[in-house]
Amino acid sequence: MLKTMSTAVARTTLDRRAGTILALRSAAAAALLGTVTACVTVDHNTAASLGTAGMQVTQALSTQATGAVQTLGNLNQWWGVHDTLVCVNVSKADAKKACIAGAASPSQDPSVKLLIDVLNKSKQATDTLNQAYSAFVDLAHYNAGQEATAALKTSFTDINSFLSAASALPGAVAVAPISATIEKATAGVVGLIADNKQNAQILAANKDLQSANDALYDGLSAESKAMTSILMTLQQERQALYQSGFDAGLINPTDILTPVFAEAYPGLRLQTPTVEDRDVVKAAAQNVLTLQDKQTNAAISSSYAASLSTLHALSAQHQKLANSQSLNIGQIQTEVSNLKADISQMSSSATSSTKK
Amino acid sequence: MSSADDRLSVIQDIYVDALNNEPQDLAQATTPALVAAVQANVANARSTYYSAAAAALTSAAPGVETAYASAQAALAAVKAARSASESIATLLGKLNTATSAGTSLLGAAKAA
Repeated sequence: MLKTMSTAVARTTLDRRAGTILALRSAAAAALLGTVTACVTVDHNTAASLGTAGMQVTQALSTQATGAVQTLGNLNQWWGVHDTLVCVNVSKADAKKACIAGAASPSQDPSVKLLIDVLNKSKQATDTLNQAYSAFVDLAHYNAGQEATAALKTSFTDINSFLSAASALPGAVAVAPISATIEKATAGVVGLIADNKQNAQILAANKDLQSANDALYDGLSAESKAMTSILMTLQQERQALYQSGFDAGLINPTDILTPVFAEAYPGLRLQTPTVEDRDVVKAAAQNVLTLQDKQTNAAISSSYAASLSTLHALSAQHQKLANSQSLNIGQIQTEVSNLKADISQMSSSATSSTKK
Repeated sequence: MSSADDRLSVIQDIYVDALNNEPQDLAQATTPALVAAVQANVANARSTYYSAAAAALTSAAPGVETAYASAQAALAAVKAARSASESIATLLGKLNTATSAGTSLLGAAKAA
């Protein structure tokens, strides 16, 4: 009795499984037909390159904003040091004493705090877009078709394993396992469906990113000149602080000249100049500082506008991806490389001003 | 007609000029009063610039144009005075004019 019942259960289960296989075959055929008629093609590598370029541009903008916020946060301290050290230029004792007294503890400028707040908001928007581009790259790299096929293969293996086990039951009718041909065909179709779905997601994300890109560009370009002015002025503040330390004798001119000689003659060690020639060495170091400042100022004046221009250029590439046109990522990558060089120049200037 | 960016640029020039020339100006200052005048000039130009940058100077009006022209002229006068090596007293008068013009420009732009 018990044996008869268990045989009936096994048959029922097998019938259901056979129905599932038939349904799967039908679905596969239908899906294949649907896939062929509504195929969405996206070059995943190109999409990933576009996303990477977006990450790099937004990172460049964020780096500039971060540097500006940090400098603004330090300004009060810088002014306290600079405004006092610059008193070394006053020769008369009573005038110098008055200079030092007048330079004591500058108060926090409320406008500086306001600027920090504004720049932080701008940076937050840029960082959010950067994260969106990062997610876009992940989406483009993800191989949905392969993942779905692998999952289906596991499921086929499980089904065949079940069929094999079920056929061993007493009284069961042997059911042929899913053939390798059906596995391959069905897996291919499922892969196509998954790819198609993923491509549609990439295109939808591409459209959203383009909208976000355009919005950020509009916002940042409206304040582009003001932002460039702030970046330039902060660089002037940095240079004024450094110059005051240099004039006060806190910074050794030999330290400034060492990297210059090292580039021409690696491994060279510079000697301390004689007392009589210190003014000459100091003048040479001053020339290096002036040239470095010019290079940095040139980099600042061009880099922010270039960042925005590259961001804007990305929007056009988003449109091309949406239209299945070939993208010109190489040009954008070149622009990003130039941006990185400019930012590196500014960063090295900041480092040299604080560490030399 | 000047743009908000033009106006910010003039105010920036006034501050950067005062900041970069402060060592030389202080070197000429031989009394506590002259030193205080140089320091006050830099402090006022600094405050005006950061206020202008924060305000972003978004609008223009006829009054702004007059203030803009005054600020430009004052800055040119300071530069001419420096190159002519005028006495510290004369220079301080022109520095003060330039900084005041920058402050007026900021006020006019904010009110517009």
